[in-house]
Amino acid sequence: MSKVILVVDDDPVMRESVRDILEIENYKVIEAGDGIDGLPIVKKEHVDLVITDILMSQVDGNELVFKLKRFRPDLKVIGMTGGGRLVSVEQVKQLCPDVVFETMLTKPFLREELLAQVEAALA
Amino acid sequence: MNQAISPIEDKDEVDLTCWIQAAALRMENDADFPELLLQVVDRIKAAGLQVYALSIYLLAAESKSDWLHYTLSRGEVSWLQDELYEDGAEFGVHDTKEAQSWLDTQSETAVAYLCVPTSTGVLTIADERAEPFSDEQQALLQTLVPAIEMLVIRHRDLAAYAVVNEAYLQTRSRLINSNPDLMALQDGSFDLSAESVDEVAQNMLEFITQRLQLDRGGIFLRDGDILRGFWGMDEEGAIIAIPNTIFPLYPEENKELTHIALIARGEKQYYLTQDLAADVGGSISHDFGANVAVPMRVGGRIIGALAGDNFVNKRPISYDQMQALMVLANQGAVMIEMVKLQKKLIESNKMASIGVMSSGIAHELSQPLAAILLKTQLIPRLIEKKKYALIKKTGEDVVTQTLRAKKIIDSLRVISREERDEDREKCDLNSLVEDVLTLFMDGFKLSNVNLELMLTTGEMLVFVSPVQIGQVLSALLINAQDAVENSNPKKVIVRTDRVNDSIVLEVSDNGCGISKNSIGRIFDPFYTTKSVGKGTGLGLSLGYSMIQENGGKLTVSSEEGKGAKFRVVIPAINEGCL
Repeated sequence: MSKVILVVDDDPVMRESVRDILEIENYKVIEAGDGIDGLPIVKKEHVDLVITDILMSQVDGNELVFKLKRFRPDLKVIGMTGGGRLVSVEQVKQLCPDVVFETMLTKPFLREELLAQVEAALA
Repeated sequence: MNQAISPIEDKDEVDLTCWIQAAALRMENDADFPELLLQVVDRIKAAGLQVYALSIYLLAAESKSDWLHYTLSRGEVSWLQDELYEDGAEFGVHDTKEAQSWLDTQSETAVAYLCVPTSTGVLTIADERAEPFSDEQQALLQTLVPAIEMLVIRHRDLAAYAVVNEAYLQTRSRLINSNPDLMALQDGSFDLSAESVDEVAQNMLEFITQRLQLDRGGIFLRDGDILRGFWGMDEEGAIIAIPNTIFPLYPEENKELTHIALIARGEKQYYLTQDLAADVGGSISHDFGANVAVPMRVGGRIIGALAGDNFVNKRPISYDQMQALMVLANQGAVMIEMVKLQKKLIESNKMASIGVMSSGIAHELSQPLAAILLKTQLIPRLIEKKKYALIKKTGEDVVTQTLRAKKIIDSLRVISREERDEDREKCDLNSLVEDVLTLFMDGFKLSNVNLELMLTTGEMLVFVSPVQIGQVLSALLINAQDAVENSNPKKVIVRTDRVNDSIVLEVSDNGCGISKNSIGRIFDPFYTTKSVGKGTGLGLSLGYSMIQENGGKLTVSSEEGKGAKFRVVIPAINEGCL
C-alpha cells in the first residue's frame, strides 16, 4: 500500500511540482489549495503525512498544523516557506511552541531534500 | 483564534526588519522619532535581545570628523552632535568594519556591549548582564542594522529639513519691503525656486544681472575646507559652471587668505570695494571693477558666498545693491538646501518603500523558482520511467515559471531603475499598475488585505515617468494597507478608468478614513495629526508634486471611519499624438 501525502499550497503550480515528484516515487498524493480545505480531508480520509505551505490566504500553515494536531497528534507535518523570518523549525517553535513541524523546506528546495524529508517523516 | 498561535497571527510582527523599515516610512515629522525609537527597542526586546541602552553614531553629512550621536538609555532618547573618541571601541569598529562584543566588569553591575558597524556609522547596544551577547543575538542585531540605520538617517534628514523650512519662512517674512528689487522676490514676480540646485543657482545669477543691475555674479559653495566655485559668469556675461575656481578656507602660511574665504568662514559680514583695480586678495590679479561678496546663510550655518562685480562697466556698487544681494544670498542658500534635502527625502522614501516590499518580493520569487527546480529535476526521472508524454508538458511548465520570475524582476525595475527618475515616456497605465501590484500581492496577503482589481480592458496610454507614477502608487498602496489595519474585512480597491480625455487611477480602502479638519491639509508637507493616521504626510505631499510634474492631479475624498479614496487623473494620449 502506498503512503498517502496531503500537499497544501495556494499556488497550483507549486502543488503540481511537488505532486509529480512524489507520484513518480509511488506515493499517493491528495491536493488542497488552502488550510481551510486541507482540514476536512484529514478528518475524512486516511493521510500519512502533510506537506503544507506556511503563508496562505485563508487558513495558513501554522493554524492548519495547530488544528490538525488536536485530533491527529501523531500526524507528521512538513512545512514549506518562501522565506521571510519563518525559515527554520526552531524559529517557528520559538514563536509558537504548540505548533510543531517535523521539518521545514525553504523554497526553492531540491527534489532530494523533499524526498529525504518525506522518507524520514514516514519511517 | 487560539492563544497559542497568536504571535504569528499578528502578521506585522513576522518580520522585524520590515516593521522598522515601515516605521521609517511612516515617520513624517522629526518629532515622531523618539517614540518610534522606543517602539523599535521594545520590539528588539520582544525578539529576544535585552537592551537598556542603544547608541547610534552617524557620520555627519558635511564633515568627516563630526558625528551625530543618538542614545536611548532606559527609555530616554537624546541626540547630539558629537566627536567619536579615537580610543573608543566605536572608533575601532568603524575603522575595521568588524563587529565587537565584550563584557565590562569594571562597574558595580557587569555590562555587556555589542558594537556593530553600519554603512554610515556604528551602532552599540548595552545590557546589564553577566555574560556577553550570544552568537544568535549578535546575528539578530546584524540583520536589523540596515533598517535601524535607515530610521535614523531619515530622522536626521527630516530634522534638517524642518530647520531649513523654518529659516526659509523667516527670511521670506524678513524681506526688506522698501527695496523695490527685493519686492520681486516677495510678490512672486521673480521666483528662485527650481527642481535642481543648478537651476536655483542660475535663477540667482539672473536676479543679480536683471534686477540688481550688476554686470556679473558668482556663487561659491563650501566643500569641506575649501570654497568652490559653483555657477558664475564669463567675461561676456554668459552663465557657466566654475568648479575650478577654488579658495582655501584655511590656506597654508605663505598663501593669501582671501576676503571671500573670510566671509565663508563667518569672520567677515561682507566685502565691498569701489576700487577699480580691486584687490580681491591676491589670488586673482584681474581688474574686477567694483566688487562685492556676502555670505550665504541657512539657519545660522554658512553654506557659501555670493559675489558680484561690475567687470564690464566699472560702475560703483551701491550699499542698497549689496543689501539686496545679502537677502538674495540667504534666500538662495535656503532654496539650495531645500532642493538638496527634498532629493534626499525622495530617495530615502524610495529606499524605505523598497525595504517594505522586499520580503514580499522574496516570497513571490521563491514560488516560481521552487517550481522550476522541482520540474527540471523531474525530467530525468520521467525519462527513466518512460513517461514521455509528461516531459513535454513539464518543459513547457519550466518556461512558463521562468517567465513568471522574469515578470517579477521586470516590475521591480519599474520602481528602482538607474535611469533618471524624471524621464517621461509613453506607457500603458494598466500594465504599469499590474507591475507595481505584483510587488504588493504577498505583502497584502501577509496582512490579510483583500485586494480588488478593477482595470479597464485594453491599453491606456499616458505620457509619464513610469518610475514616479510607480512610486506614487506604491505610496498610496502602503497608506491604504496601513489605513485598513483595524478594519474587518480589510479591503483595498485599485481601479482604472477612461473619462473623456483623461485616464483615472483610483486607490480606495475601507479603513479609518480622514477627518474633515485634516483632509484640506493632507498634501501639505509635514502635515500630520494622530487622527490622520499613519503614512499620510510627506509621502502624499511628494506624491502630489510628482503627479503634478507628470501633468496630472492627485485628489482625495474620504469620510472619517468609512475609508478614503485617492484619485490620480492624467491626460490620455491617443496613438499618433507623439
